[in-house]
Amino acid sequence: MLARIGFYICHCGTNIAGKVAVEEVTKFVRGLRNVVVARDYKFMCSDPGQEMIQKDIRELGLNRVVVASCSPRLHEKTFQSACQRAGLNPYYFQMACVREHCSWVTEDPAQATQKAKTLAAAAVNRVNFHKTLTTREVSVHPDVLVVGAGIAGIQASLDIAKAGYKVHLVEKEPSIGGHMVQFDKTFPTLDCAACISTPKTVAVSQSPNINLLSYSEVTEVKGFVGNFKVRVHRNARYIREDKCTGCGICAENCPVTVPNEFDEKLGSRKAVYRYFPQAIPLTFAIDKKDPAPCRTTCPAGINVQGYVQLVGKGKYKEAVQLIMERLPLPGVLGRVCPAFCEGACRRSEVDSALSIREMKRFAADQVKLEDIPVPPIEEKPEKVAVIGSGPAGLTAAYYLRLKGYGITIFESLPKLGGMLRVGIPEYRLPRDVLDGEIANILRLGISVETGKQLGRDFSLEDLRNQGFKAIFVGIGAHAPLKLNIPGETDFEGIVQATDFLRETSLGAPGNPGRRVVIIGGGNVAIDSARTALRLGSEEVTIVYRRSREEMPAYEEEIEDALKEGVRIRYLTAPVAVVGSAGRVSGFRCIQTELGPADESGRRRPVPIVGSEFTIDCDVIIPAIGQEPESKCCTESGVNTGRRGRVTVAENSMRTSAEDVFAAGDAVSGPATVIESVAQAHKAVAAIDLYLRGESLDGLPAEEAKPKGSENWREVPKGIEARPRAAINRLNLEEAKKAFSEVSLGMSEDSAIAEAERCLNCGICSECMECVRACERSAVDHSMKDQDIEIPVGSIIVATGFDTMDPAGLVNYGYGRFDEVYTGLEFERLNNAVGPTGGQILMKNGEKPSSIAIVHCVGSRDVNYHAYCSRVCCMYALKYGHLIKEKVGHNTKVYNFYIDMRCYGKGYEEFYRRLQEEGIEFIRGKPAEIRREATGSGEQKLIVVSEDTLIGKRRRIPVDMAILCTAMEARKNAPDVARVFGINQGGDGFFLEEHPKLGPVSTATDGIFLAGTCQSPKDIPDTVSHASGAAAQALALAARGKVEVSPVTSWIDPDICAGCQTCIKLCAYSAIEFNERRGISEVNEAVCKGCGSCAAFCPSGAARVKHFTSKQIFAEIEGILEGVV
Amino acid sequence: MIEYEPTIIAFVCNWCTYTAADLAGTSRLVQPPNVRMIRMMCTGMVDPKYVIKALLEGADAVLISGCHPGDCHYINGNLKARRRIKLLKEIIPKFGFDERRLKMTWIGASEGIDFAQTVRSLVAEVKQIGPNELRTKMVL
Amino acid sequence: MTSAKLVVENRDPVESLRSFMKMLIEKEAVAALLVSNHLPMKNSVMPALVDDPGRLEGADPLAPAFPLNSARVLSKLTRKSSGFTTAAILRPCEIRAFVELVKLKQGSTDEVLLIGIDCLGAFGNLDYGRFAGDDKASTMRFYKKVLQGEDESWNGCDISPACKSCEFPVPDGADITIGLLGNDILDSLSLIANTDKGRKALEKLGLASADVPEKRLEAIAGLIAQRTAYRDEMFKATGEAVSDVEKLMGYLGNCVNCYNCRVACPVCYCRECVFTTDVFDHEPDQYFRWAKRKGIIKMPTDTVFYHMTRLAHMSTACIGCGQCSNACPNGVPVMELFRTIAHAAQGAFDYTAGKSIEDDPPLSVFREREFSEITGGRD
Repeated sequence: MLARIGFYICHCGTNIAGKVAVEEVTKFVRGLRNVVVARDYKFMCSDPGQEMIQKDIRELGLNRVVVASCSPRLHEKTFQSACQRAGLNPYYFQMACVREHCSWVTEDPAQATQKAKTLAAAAVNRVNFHKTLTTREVSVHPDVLVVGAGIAGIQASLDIAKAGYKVHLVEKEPSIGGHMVQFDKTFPTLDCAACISTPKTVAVSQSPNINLLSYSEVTEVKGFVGNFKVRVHRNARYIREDKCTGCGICAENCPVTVPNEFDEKLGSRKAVYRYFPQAIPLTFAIDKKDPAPCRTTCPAGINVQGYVQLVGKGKYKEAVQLIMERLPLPGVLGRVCPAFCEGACRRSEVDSALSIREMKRFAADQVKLEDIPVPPIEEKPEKVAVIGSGPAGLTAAYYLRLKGYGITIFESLPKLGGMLRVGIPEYRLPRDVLDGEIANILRLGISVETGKQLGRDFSLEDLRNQGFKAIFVGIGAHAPLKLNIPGETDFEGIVQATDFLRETSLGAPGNPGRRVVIIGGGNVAIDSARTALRLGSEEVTIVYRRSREEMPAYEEEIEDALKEGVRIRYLTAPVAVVGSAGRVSGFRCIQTELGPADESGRRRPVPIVGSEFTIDCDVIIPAIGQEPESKCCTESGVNTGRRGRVTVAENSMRTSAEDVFAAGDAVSGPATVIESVAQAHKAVAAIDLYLRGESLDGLPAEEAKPKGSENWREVPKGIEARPRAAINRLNLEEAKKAFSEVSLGMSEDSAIAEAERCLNCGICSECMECVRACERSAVDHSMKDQDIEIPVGSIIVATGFDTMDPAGLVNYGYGRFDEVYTGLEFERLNNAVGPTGGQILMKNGEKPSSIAIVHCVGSRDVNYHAYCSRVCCMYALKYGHLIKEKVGHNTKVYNFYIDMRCYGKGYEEFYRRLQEEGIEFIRGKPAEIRREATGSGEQKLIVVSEDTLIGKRRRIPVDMAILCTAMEARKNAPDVARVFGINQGGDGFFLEEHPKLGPVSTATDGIFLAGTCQSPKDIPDTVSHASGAAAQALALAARGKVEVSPVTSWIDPDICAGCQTCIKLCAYSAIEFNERRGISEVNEAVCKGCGSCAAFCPSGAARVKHFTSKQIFAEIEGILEGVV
Repeated sequence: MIEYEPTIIAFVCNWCTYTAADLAGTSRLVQPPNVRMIRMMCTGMVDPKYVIKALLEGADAVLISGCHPGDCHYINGNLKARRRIKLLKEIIPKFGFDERRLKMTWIGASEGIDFAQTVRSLVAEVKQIGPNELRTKMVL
Repeated sequence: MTSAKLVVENRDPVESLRSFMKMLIEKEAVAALLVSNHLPMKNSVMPALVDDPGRLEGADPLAPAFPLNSARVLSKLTRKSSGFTTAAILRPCEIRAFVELVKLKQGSTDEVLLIGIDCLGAFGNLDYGRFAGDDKASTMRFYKKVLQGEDESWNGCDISPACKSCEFPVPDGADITIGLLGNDILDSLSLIANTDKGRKALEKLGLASADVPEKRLEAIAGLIAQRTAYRDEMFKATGEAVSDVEKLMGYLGNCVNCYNCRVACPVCYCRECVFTTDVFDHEPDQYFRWAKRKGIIKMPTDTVFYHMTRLAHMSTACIGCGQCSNACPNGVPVMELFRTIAHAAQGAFDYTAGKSIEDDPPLSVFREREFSEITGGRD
């Protein structure tokens, strides 16, 4: 069929004809091949213009049409449908852009005309090779996704729901309403934002057609217009929406307080929160980050943040109960714990770590354990034997008993407690505390056999025969290490530290001697020294072969020892025990210096030749470490390793015997109490599994936590540093005379103050107060985030705006001066449910007597945003009115403006009204706001500006300044744009399809924009924009079908060689390989026609319809021919 | 250097650079008239033979311009295009074409000013290089 | 076992190779064998697929003839699974071409045992005829000269420029290498397994394990050095010869658009070349409009366009076997042009055609951050 082309060039008034000699172009085109008719007309896009084309098609039998006018992005569809109306397939149309790319940008008319010719020639040449294409119709899923539940999203959702279609409304915040519900009044009508928005938010919650997905975010969008698949990530609320009545008891009981974003951080909220009483949904939500570092660092996994918060609220019993979920000895550890948690405390980034251990002690000291009811225990038939009653044994006994097993503790000593009792002296750990907590453990119904030693009095086999189904070994490490120096065993007066401390604990041994030398640098050495003092020794000397830095004993212990008069000789190594008449008379030592580090990482002491000397003394107490007495184990078939330590599987603490488990110093050698507790927990879990006949392989090994990956609450900026709580202690001069406890702990006030220093790294502390408080048991801390996939036909993006942070404009003092506020902050100050209950007060609680309102902060400012934010002038006026109304009419209000922009309905009238209310208007942008003492000596904010109307410089003192900060695109707009496949404009807001004719559509079919995510808008404009978007979505849904462009790829089966490279290159997996035919095939429903395949395919088997090589070549030829 | 009016063929993507060119137009950003735009849906559909054809037939330069990486309307068509242009830049200069006759840029939908600027500088550059004789020479 | 020695009986390596091939089939290492073979009716050497171990009398993998690149034949055998395993005895450039075809899903290594043979070069088709005549024993004359340096007559022929400039004389991609270099081939050849497949096959044959002669490496290095030198000279000369389009037109002056080069090219895998599709059958008036614009146009048209486009399509896959030149009826030095460009193109993507099946063809992949210089450093 021979091509019969009609060519039409548009004058577009003078837009084109003013530059391009349209007649000349027409004449030129008339001469081109296959051109039947060429005309020019004033407005081709007008009805007569389109009619002209249709007439020619009908009467001249045109089968190709070319229009040279504006950009095809504007009117291609217009002319295509004109062709279609005349019965010509729309793809026989081609457009040449002679306006945007030609007449509007070319200065010289001759050149413009020349360019127009070549563009026309290109189009004409190309259209010769066009083919019939039929637009495919695909069905449209009726549901609509609305993203963002501010007033725009709400309006759109309601409109769609009203039309009877289903809406999925996704909001990332826990409640809906967006910025509007933060406002107090709205201009110019001054009706309250809540009053006009709550009916809408309520309607959303009540509409059966709206599926509200609050506290959720869209993470992925697949598919195409009419057939999107949307992935939504739902954050766990930890509160069941179906049960929560919104009564708020949980929040009343929540101990954790953090700044409230909804109040622009002027107020505070709890970890379990709801932005405001009328919030929709009224369900509360719990703000949870990763578990706090104190908690994850604690070997025993005690919920530290939890009990710290409870202490802060004076809930000591609850605190102790929370501690006892992981530790049956709160009072003991409150005294002797090395407190690894304090090492991890992030408060140290502000001032110093919290005094956590002391808070634990404080809580424990306030509580009578017998007041805490014994938890219900459901009995199990199996019996477990616990050998040893140190921290490990007690922990194992306690938690195994809670699991219902029958427990018998076997202890070789007459009393329970192991090293807690016979290792740690009373002045550090009062016996009544220890006894009390042991008694509490036994309260669960645990039988005890003291004076029974494994290996001496019974064997593991005996226990098995007595019907114990599992055995826990926690025999500790009590055997002292030898000095291996001459004379060690030859004289009287050498006492092993462990024996010394044990005898002291179990019944006073009397005076150890006048002059005592203690060997070692650990806590045992210090304990022995201070105990010796208390027993009346006069000269107590500690000999340590390394320097102070290497000393493993606790710093404060060393301090106290020195204060009490203990002498410590550092860099001194033992040589021999000197004696006379069978008694110790002195201790021979040698000076050392520190050499390179040994395997323990500490520097190795090297003796200095010839530096030997003797310390006269009558008792020597070696305290150089202990090891387990594990012979008893090996005898009964439990393997031990280095230094007699019991060998266990790391994850289960199971020994070489399948029913025997071990923990504590017996396994690790001398270590801390809390580590023994931690190991015991592992053993308990393992024993429980074992007795239930389950495998132990599932038990986690020591999991290495990835550092830095934690998502904790940010350390807030600008919080004042406060000192660590002081600890009361006995006067050491007095203390050293007796065994009464040295540390007196902290006062209630300082305990509470200390708790308030906690940064709540995890926000929710999981103290479970909310769970206890909620009568509907709506709180569920076990909830998990979930991802759901929703099919929808169209999407409305209504993600709103951010207000600019004015801290960047340092000259306005925001963040430096208390009384400089942003507009949004001032809205909250005004709001009845805001931090001040709606009163306009300064931070000092007084009413301001003068207020400056600065317009265009960040707007109409090339350094920030060139655009006008469109609402500031009006809300500034509104503020003026509210100030006069609330603070009083004598209050001075100054507006610093560039131009007043009051273009909306009733706006100018409002402006006039405010002028009459006596607001001062100063035309000029303030240079700076500073803080100075005025004549009367009081500190005021001084706004320095020029008044450009009177041409004078003004310095105006005020109490308060409000910055009308710019509306700007959301920080995460780039990510949102990528998820939805839409573009951002230069100003960061989302780009509409056309600034005038397509303000709600985007470049992506089926995705629409609503509200301020597209550009700054006031509420009326936002609402209309949203209704517009709703109409677009409804248009798709109502028709149920949509034409999708036939411009897709196609692979010629006769040419395709089946190399499948196109499959690799296709971003949409739209191409599949047909094994049988050995060729690749395009799924046109999925193909978006990007042509990645076609541009690769060397044989040209893959091609994009309407963009074939022939057509592009023709266009190239046309251009180059046109050049004359 | 002989003063002449170069003809530059630009293969631009519909979503970013073509939109930017429209924006440049609506903003009346004056540009030299030498660029002739061929609208593609995506730079990813620019077949190397289009570029070769344009140069062999006498285009004084070829411009390929699309969305910035990450902004491609088709996810990554522009990245595939970049590799193809990389290859052409290895081949074409071997036959005496000035390497500057083949240019690729990223110009986003909102960057009308960048577009106008790119056109200005490219035209100036190509005027420097001088005409591509092939337009009137016997090469096919 | 990774290497063995193939003892040459009565100083006839070709015959010994035949018995090696016989073993391959009989010991069921493979079902059939693809190998160069002297046609019974005429002394011309063509690939043959041998099933019957008794029919190896004409098989001659050493013959210095290279009528076509067998990668294409092998792709026909392996494009889909056949259920038969083949052993293919190939030149290094044939293996490298096959590797490229496998990446393009035009063949598969699943059912093939690739046996590569050290390549000392081959004659162009016409030269081979002149060199060999009817003398089926001519093969050894070739090796006596190239390996022993004995003064044997080649009737003034020489191995093709592609072979002279080939820096890949050793078949690295093969499962088993038949090593000539470093051996006295009248006494023994090396069998070297490069892959597990190769090792298993060698074990099946039950040959005694033997080390590769030390001289081998040195011999290889020497040969590569010599060829690289030749290659670089060629690059320089060719670069000069096409340094502008005028010259390029002259260079391609004899081209009649027969497209034999692309038919012979092992990596031009298209079923139909785009230049033979409707894209290039122009409207008759187009020619006149071209003529109008340029005053005179060469017919047929699209010659330079064809070669430049073909460069864009396969210079990244060119393995330099030289079959293009071999196939050109008018003596256009196609190989020189393509190898010169291909060297740069592959270098640009740090890619070596035929090296490994693991490497993706440059235009089949891309990264978010790369080649930012293309867009003036902007990314």
